[in-house]
Amino acid sequence: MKRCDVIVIGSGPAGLSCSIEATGSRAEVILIDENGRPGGQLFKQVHKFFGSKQHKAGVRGFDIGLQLLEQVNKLGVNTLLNTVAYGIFEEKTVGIIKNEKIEMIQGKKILLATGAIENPIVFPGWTLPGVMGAGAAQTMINIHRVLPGKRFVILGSGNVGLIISYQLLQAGASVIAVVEAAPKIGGYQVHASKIRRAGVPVYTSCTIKEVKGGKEVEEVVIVKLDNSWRPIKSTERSLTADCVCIAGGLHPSIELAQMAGCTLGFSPELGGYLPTHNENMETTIQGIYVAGDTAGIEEASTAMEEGRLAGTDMAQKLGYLSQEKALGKKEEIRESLLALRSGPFACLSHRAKINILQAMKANRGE
Amino acid sequence: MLNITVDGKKIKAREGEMIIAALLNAGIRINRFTSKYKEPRGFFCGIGQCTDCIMTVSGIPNVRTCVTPVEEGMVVETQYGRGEWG
Amino acid sequence: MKFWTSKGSAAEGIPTPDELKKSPGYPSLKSLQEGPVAIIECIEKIPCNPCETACPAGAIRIGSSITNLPALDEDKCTGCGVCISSCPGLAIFVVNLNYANGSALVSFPFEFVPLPKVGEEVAAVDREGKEVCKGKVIKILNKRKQNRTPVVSISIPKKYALVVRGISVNKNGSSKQNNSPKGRNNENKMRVLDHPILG
Repeated sequence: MKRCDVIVIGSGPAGLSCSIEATGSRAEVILIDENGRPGGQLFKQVHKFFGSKQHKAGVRGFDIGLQLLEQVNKLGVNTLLNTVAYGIFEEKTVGIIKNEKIEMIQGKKILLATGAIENPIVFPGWTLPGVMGAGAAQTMINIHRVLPGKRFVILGSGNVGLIISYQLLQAGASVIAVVEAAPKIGGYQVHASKIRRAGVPVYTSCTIKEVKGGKEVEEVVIVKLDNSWRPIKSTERSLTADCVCIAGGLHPSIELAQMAGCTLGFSPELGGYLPTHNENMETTIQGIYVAGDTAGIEEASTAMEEGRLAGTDMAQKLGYLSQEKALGKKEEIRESLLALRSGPFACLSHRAKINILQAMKANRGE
Repeated sequence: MLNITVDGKKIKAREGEMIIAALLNAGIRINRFTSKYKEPRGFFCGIGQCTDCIMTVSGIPNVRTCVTPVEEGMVVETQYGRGEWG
Repeated sequence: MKFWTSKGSAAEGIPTPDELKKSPGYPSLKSLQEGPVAIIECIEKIPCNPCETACPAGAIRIGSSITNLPALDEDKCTGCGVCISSCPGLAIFVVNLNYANGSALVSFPFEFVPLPKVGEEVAAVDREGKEVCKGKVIKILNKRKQNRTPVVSISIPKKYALVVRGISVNKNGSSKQNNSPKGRNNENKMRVLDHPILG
């Protein structure tokens, strides 16, 4: 059985950053991803990131992906692609399927950086071909360079819905409307302004009543909502569209954490159930860490920092990094995370993360 | 560029792309019909998790077209229900 | 000067004239009348500060707390426009009310294809994407440093200078890509052949 210091499951920004940090400290890392190439959702992000210079503000997501890949390749991280990690067993053994064969690998530390899953929103007609997740549409236009439809209605005005509307326009599609059930737009004003300038209306206090079509989406009926979020009769409006993108948020992908016996907590601000973890990203199972969306839905920038945090702690606990050096790095990373989690939007994540740390302390009996 | 057939019709596909991309490019959005009510289903999650995009590919049913790359000469068929082997 | 109406940025994504005038990134009318000046339409506290470092004149200030709203120092701003492509939110514009007799020059970021051509007459749109007047493309800047965010400058009647913030995109539901010179036929009608960022 193959053995190593660190097994990283998921090669998105969190997994890549952890691998770079750990390998940089001389730990032996095996990086696993079920896809044919690493990078997670980074390569779909054709827009410029926010944050500060150290957070790579102004750099486009896929360029950040390329930078991380370059570092991973330079360090010679052992990467297994097209490899599914299907289970975690005793003594930090991970079951993987590679080339249709099962193999077991064992690590001293494991990072679960498996990302997130899109939330479906259900309405009559949601099963018609043409209704899809917003992220799914993004993969098609930015990775596979194909439009899954021509006239789009986007359900959800968080940053995902707003950004994807913009990217659909860039790919040559028409975005007929963004529909938002809340009375306010969920995402950043600047993202909303971009699509408004391009003529895309945003209908707040509205939702999709039903989607009609013979065998595919042909018509989208929206309806206004009252203050109790209930549909108001006779306010229905019909939109001609052939595609509906559901941007209803994400929830952490935690199956492996559940298998491993990690204690879960429910955090609505961070997307739902997620593994309780401490200030070093370690879960209630010693040696198993989480980072990125698996540890709570945030952004690529926080994912990278959390990955680095986990990697630094692992390197220290494995004896590759002195306590002093590790402390210095962790302080710097935590300050960076604090900056990213500031402001009226991200302070909710900040508070939610504090709640998680408190839950962890309670779990430890402190 | 390579060629695959979908329900007997030849379509072009780009090297390395997922089957679903070639289908969408050709305007094909229905991947299968459900067992009980024979309802159409198509691409939904794009990430290999929901199984709405499954089709029978070269005789093998339940192939997730959103995470399976195309190969020259692949025979792709709309799947009805659970599909059949061979 | 024409203004615009909006219920506000929270419900519509479009700032009201009041919301903008109150923000530290919006220049005074006096400054606007002196020549080209930057207009930063970023009124929400989000962690973001590349505009601060991009300005060669040091005219944009955010400070150590990166959620601060960008503040424009009118005395330092030369209206050079480097900030326009530095903003990840595409929220910065440069307006020159003194461009020519009766015309103003509005410069804005434009990340779509096809780019218009210099000299072309275009439909100048407001913050809702509605055509307000015709404009003429005077300059298009797309240097490597802009990281694939071209900056388009159009001349328009002066009275619309505070209203016009772009040109029309993908009009009437028809994809401009249908006429892409790279050759579209029945075999690739859903292909994204020409992409403003990915090429």
